[in-house]
Parts: sequence; structure tokens; C-alpha cells
Amino acid sequence: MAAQFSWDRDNGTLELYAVAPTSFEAILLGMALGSMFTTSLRAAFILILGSLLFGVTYTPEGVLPAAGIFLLTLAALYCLGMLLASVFLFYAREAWHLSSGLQEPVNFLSGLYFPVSALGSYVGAAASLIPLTLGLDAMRQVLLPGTPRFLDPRLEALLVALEIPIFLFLARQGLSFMEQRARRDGKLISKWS
Amino acid sequence: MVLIPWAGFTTAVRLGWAISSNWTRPLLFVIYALVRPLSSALILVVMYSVITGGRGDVRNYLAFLVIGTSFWAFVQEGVSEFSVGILEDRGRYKMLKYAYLAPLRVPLFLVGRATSKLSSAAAAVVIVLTVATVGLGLPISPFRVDYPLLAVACLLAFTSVMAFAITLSMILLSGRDAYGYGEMMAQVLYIFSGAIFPISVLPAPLATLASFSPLVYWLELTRRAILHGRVYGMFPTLTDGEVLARLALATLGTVVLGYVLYSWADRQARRKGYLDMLSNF
Repeated sequence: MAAQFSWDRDNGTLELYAVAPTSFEAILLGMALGSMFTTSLRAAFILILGSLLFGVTYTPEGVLPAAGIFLLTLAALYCLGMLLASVFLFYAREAWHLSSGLQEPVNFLSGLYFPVSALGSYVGAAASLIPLTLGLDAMRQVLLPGTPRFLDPRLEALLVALEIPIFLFLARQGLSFMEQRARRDGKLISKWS
Repeated sequence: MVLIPWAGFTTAVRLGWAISSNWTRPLLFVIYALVRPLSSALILVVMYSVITGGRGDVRNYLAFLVIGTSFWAFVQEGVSEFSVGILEDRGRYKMLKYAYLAPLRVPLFLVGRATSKLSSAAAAVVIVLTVATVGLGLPISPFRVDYPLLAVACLLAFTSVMAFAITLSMILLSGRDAYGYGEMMAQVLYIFSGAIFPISVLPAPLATLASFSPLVYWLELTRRAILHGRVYGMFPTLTDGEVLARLALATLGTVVLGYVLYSWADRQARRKGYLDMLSNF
């Protein structure tokens, strides 16, 4: 999501968005909804396949809360992506490289492959700015009791929910500001800057 | 006559380096080049710590893991980033056809491009090993490394990585949207190369398949060269010479097979117009 406008500029579609009778936020929102659907499908497939292959069992009563937390996390992540898209709108090739370069650090900090509590409270707190960190920790706790705990899962879900309007507000402000700057500096159509 | 291939090769290396690095300032590029392999290594190290709970009896495996993941940067750059680079040359910068028109043979151009990718991975390897030595207390000393063994093993491995990557990228030219396939192939190799676990833990048919890969023997030799006897070994019954012979044989096989496939893919690309085909970039 963050690098979307950068790709669109390279493909020549960003200028079409700019003259369309709608806003950049609306376009990104539509893309986010489509992408959320495919992401959810992929996540469900991996979860089912992985569970069957490795014999993982879950707490039945945790499934619904986990689904709710998953949707909240996804929404917060896409809002963060929209916020970053505003920054990336202004940068060209740097955006592409930075988004790929940030992938592994985000995987590391968010505790994707291990409980985030292993990173300690300070690093964990800083990593909580990435909604995936708290969302994933909360989902693990409700589905797999006994998982090392970073925060109470209800508090984690609440914090993720709070991040949604904050990131959305910042994304709107950022997109508006960066769009004006990009128009002024001709960055909406300059591919190789 | 020798000068033309050499000039072409060095030009291709410089071109590859320029495309890889000229999008930003040097400092940001250095951070970008280091942060990814460093994060990957940290992920595995924390996973290892969480799973083992800091048990001392599995420390040899930590060394196995760290050296495997650090040297993997060569394969990541050489296979995944290289194939993306060639697809970018074709689809984004639209200059692949000009490489074919230039007065040097295309394989030489591709080897030059691959060399620049492998060179940029070297810094990441050194940094990850340094961080592991200092941060995790691994007994790695630059004065006790068997450099001749390491150099020969790396030379053979780089030859096979280049052969594989060049062939793969030529095959990928047939696709309009082949962008992620290089990464996918690198991930498949990751599982079958003994980078993060010994190939003996794979199911028997897969372990047999993995034993044909030169990467397995290369990583075994890098571990032996850096931490001889103080690291988990995949082939404890084989001597260094025997592992080296297997690496040489597997490299020869990769190069021969790669050449055959490359020749076929190159013919197809010229015949069907893949070299300047519009693609999704």
C-alpha cells in the first residue's frame, strides 16, 4: 500500500488518478478493500494448511475474538500504509527501495516469527507503533493460551483500534500536504526523480 | 582482442552497481544494503533464543545458523535481486535489447551484472558476522579463518549461483509478470541449501534432491573454514577435500545444465521477441 502511488506513477496511472473526480484517499481506500480481501484469503489458506500439516490446535472460544482482532489489525495496517503512501508520493525510486528494505526490519520488530515479549518492553513498546505487533500478540494469546504475553490482549486490541483513526487522520493530512507539494514540484508525473 | 571482453565486463559491473545504488545518497544506500540481512539474521537468532531458552548444549547450532544466514546474502543478491535486475532492464528501463546490440557477448554482460550483485552482498556478510561475533559471542576470529578453503569454496559457489541466476532470468523473460519469481526461487533454495538447518532433517527424497545442490557443500565449507570443529557439521564423515570435490562436481553440473537451458531460453527470447516485450513494471 505504501509504495502504491510510486508504482502507479511509474506505470503512468497516477496522473489519471489526479484528474479523476475523486480524492487520492478514496482511491487508496478502494485498493485497500480489494487487497484486504485477497490478504484475508491468503492468511486463511496458510493458517488452515499450516495447522493441518503441523497439527496445531486452537482454543475454540478464541476464534471469534481473533477474527475481530485480525480485521482491526488489517484496518490499522492499511491506514498506516495510506499514511506512508503520502510520504512515498513525494519520492520516486527511493520509495520502492525503502519499502523493500523495511520489510525485514518490520518482520523482526513486529514479532512475526517469535513472541514480541522476547525483544523486551522498550523495544516492544516502540514496535507497537506497527499495528501488526500488538495485533499478532493479541491473536496468539486468544488462540493459543500459554503464549508469552506482552500486554493484556484486550488492551492490545484497544490500542490497535485507537491506531486506526490516528493513522487515518494523519494519512488524510499527509496525503493532502504531499499532493500539493508533488503538484507544485511536478512529482506526480516525473518517473525517474 | 582480450581487452574488448574485459572492458565489456567491467562496464557491465559498473552499470549494475550504478543501477543498484544511484537512486539515493551513499549513506542511505549503505543502511539499506545492511539493514535487510542484519534483520533476517536477528530474526533467526531471536527465534533460536526463544526456542532453545539459551541452552548451552546447542550453541554449535547457533554458529551453524549465523554463518548460513550471513552467507545467504550472496544467494539472495545473486539470484533474487539479479533476476529482478534483468527484468527491470527489460521492462522498466527498456535497455536489455541494447545490451544485445552492444559489441560484447550477452553472457559476459550478464556475468558482469551478476558480479556487481555478488560484490554488494559481501559487505552484508561481513557486517552480520561481525555483529554475531560481538553480540552473540561466537568464537569467530579473522586470524583463524582458513582463507584458501573459503576462497576456493566461494569461487565455485559464485560460479554456480551466477549460472543458475543467469539461466533463471533468461527463462523468466518469457513472462510478462515474472517479477516475484526470482525471490520465490531464492526461498526454495533457502530450504534446500542447509542455510538454516541440516538437509538431513528434510524428508529422504528431498534430502537426496538437496544433496545435488552446490550450495549445501559451499555452506558446509564456509562453516568449516571459519569455525572448523566448533560448529555443527552436515557431513561429519567427509573430509574438507571430499566436500570440496562434491562442490566442484555439483558446480560443474549446474554450469553444464545452466548452459543448455540458457541457450534454449536465449533462442526462445530472440525468436519470440521477449527481449523488448512490454511487461508489468
